[in-house]
Amino acid sequence: MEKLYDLWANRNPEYEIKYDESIIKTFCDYGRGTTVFQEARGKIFGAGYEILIIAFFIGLYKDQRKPLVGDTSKRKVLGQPIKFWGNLDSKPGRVSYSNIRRYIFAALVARSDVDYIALDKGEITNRKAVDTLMTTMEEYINWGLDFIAEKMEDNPNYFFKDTAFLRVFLDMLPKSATAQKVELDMESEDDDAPESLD
Amino acid sequence: MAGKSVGDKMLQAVLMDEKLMVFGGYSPDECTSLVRALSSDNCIVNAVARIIDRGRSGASESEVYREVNEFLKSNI
Amino acid sequence: MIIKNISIRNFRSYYGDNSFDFSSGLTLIIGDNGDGKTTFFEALQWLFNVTVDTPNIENFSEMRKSQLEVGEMDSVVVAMTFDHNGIKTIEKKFIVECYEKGRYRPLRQEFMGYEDKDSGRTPIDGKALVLRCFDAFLQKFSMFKGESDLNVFNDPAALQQLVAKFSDLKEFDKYVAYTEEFERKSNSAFIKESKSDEKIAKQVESLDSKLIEVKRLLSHAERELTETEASAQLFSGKIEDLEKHKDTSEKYAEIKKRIEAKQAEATKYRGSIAANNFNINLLDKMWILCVFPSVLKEFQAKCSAFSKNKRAQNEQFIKERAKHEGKKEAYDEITQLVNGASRLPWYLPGEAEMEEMIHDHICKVCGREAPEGSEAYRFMCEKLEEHKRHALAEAEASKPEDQEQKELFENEYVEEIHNLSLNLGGFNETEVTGKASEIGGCIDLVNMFKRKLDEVERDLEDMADEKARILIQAEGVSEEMLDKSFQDLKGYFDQKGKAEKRALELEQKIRDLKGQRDYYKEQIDALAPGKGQVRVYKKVHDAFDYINKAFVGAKDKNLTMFLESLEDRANDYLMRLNANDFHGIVKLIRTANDSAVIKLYSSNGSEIKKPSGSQQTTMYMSVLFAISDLTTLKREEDYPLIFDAATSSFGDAKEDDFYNIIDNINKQCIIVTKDFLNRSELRMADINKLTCSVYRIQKAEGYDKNDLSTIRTTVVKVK
Repeated sequence: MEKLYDLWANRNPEYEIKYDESIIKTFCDYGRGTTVFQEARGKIFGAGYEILIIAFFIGLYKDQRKPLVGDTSKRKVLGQPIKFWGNLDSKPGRVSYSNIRRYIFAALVARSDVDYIALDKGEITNRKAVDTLMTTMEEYINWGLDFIAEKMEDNPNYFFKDTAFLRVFLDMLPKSATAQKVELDMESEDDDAPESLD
Repeated sequence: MAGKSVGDKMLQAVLMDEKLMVFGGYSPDECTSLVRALSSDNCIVNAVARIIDRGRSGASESEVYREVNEFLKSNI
Repeated sequence: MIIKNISIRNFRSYYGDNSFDFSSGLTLIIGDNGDGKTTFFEALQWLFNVTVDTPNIENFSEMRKSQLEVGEMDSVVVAMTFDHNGIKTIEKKFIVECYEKGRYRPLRQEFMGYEDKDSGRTPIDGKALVLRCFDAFLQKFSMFKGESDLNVFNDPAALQQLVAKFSDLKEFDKYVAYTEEFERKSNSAFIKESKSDEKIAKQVESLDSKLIEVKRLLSHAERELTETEASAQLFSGKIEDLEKHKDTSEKYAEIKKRIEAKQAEATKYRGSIAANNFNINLLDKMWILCVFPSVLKEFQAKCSAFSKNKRAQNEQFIKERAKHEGKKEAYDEITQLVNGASRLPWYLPGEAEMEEMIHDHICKVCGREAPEGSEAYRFMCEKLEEHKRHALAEAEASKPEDQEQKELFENEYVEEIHNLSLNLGGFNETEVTGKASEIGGCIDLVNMFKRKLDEVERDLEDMADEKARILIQAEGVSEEMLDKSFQDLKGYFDQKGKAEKRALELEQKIRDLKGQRDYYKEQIDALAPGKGQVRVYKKVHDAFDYINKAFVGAKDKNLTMFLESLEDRANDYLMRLNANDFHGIVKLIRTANDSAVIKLYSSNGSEIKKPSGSQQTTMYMSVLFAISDLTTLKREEDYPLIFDAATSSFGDAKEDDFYNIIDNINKQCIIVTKDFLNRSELRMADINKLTCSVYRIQKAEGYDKNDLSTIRTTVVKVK
């Protein structure tokens, strides 16, 4: 029996084309052949999927989804299916983080409405189950991309500061958590009001 | 030093020169006041006083020389 | 003159309006390198400069400039309010206009003066006011922008100026010149007269011509001697320099090494900081999982629930199946009683045998014949029917139980996700729960590196200061010179030796010539003139000679006395400034060119050749205070002293003593200093021991050191 995880990892999430220029290509070293040193092109991340991962976690932690647009001509996928995400082929200055896939999968299982009992009984197909997981994934990613896009409209420079992405996540830590919210050494211009956790 | 003018001080400084004092044969108490020195009997004291006084009034070198030279020639 | 207030608006780093109020004693202005100390002086120098009329836009605050919209204007103003026979103000200002985006022009500069009279504030000519109250001479002896400026006699003309201004008898030069001329003229008259005396004419002629020749040679030799001595002095100086610099270049080499080490440290910190790319760490170090714990719990709960549920269902299913099997057995037992039909006992014939017996018309059990139509025959048929019915019923009952052989679950996805859940939990769970504090730790580490980097950069600034100070102390020696080899030293020794030898020769020659001169003079004097007039002219000449010498002597004495009184006063101040500490004695030593040098001696009379930084500063300051006293005496008014005091000139223990003494000297002082700062923090405990008022100037936070328009100096009164 094929594992559900492997079936899922063979897939490739769709995202809306409208984010290609404004986000994927802006933050990732994507298109026209990737270079060995992403710094050479001044991009923050490497392959395109990296920003999708970021967007996914944003949607996941905020628990907000946005369904993809219905028109398939407005959607696309990137080159690499999930099973290659985080492998990185030991790019200089980078470290492989392939384990992240398992956590993504776990999150999808937690947040998707799949009846695994029915699945095990054979009442629903594993294809249908993976479809459900993928929909959840795409909808979290889509919301995350929208979040990023909105922030950039307010302040086009927001994500170009050293710690901007990290701060988005740190702001989501529960205040009573054992890790205190740490003060980052950021310039004073970026005083956006933190997003509410609702 | 109170009440002494610049001229007085200068007069005193010059006349207190030992060799000059011996040559001129005058005593220290003749050296204190420029005004008095100008009418002194001692021709050296008088000559120095004139040099200082005329110099301060803006006379030229040749004018001062002429006067003092004549004075000395007549009185020395 | 007492300065009451200085205000600076938009001058270089002094953005907006900034104001300093001054007491009649000491005011301290505390600031670090780059905070605006030098700019404070430059603002004052700009204010007092009466020669340059065209405004320079470089003096306009970059920050203010960057804020101007097109069409907007603002002004640069430096003003000083002071008391000098009444309250007066001088103000210099110009306006800057932004006439196009990114383009600016300065408008006409104004120099205004104001006088507070009973009738109000009346304007007067600004330049004239400066020249009247604070002319160039005063500025020279009151404002000291840098540490090396404190050595006021470094400039040889300085002493001349002082003597000229303050000594009692400044016109000596003129009289010396006059009386020299008198001697010369009277001598000529005497000789001329002698030559007309037939008795002695010939001898006079010959002696005089010899005398003239000797005098010529003598003046030649004396001139050459002066040049030779100056030359020897020069080489002496160069040797001293090099020897001092040997020290200096050792110190210099050492500090260069220290700077290199610090720079390596800085590079290391920069590397460590750069190695932490917080964006990349979100993925590579999986920092993105910092918010994951709650999701993980959801996942684990779900898997656990499904797993439990599946097991429960499975157990139920097995139970059901077991029940069914039990039911079947029970059913069998029950069906015997229910339809009343009973199985034939095992020893009785089955269906096939019974049909055979019916066919054969005989019961093969008991052996009785059963012909067709007989009762026995009928009984056997009924029994066969019953048997068939029974068998059918049994078959019916057993059908549903066939299906119970299939399993409930054909897949194991629940197990798969449950395994993943167990895998991510347990020991591995800390990978997720520990993320937040891992991030915190890393951020703390990077912040620590940044703080250390800041410290190191500040140390580098201090070291650059030190390096600069070493160069300044090397007095005019450039960096290249310090790096130079010491081949030069040998050359200088040679040159100096030659010059000294020559000087000795010349001195001897001069002695000889003087001897000759005196001899000829005596010869001439010894001649018994025939004419009485000759004797008169001789006496007159003698008189002028003595008079000239007396003036020369008096001039010399005047300078000496001036220096002595200055020295006395300076030592007075030195003693006070040093309070209980060793202080030594200041001596003002005359030099050949009618100037002086300031040196420090110990009480046993030996020179302290290398006074410490603080000894030097107090030494110079005591001379400056002494000079300032003279002005007070002479002009019957005072003027303030404005210093940029060297940093760490004083051991900490001395600081508040020192400043409090100055505050109590009856003189207005403004001292700009780096003292009382510990890193960027004020040492308030020590500042509170001071009696004077204190200002702090500081670069405002949030500046970018590469962008001038973000830099501004803030002025805060601390005490």
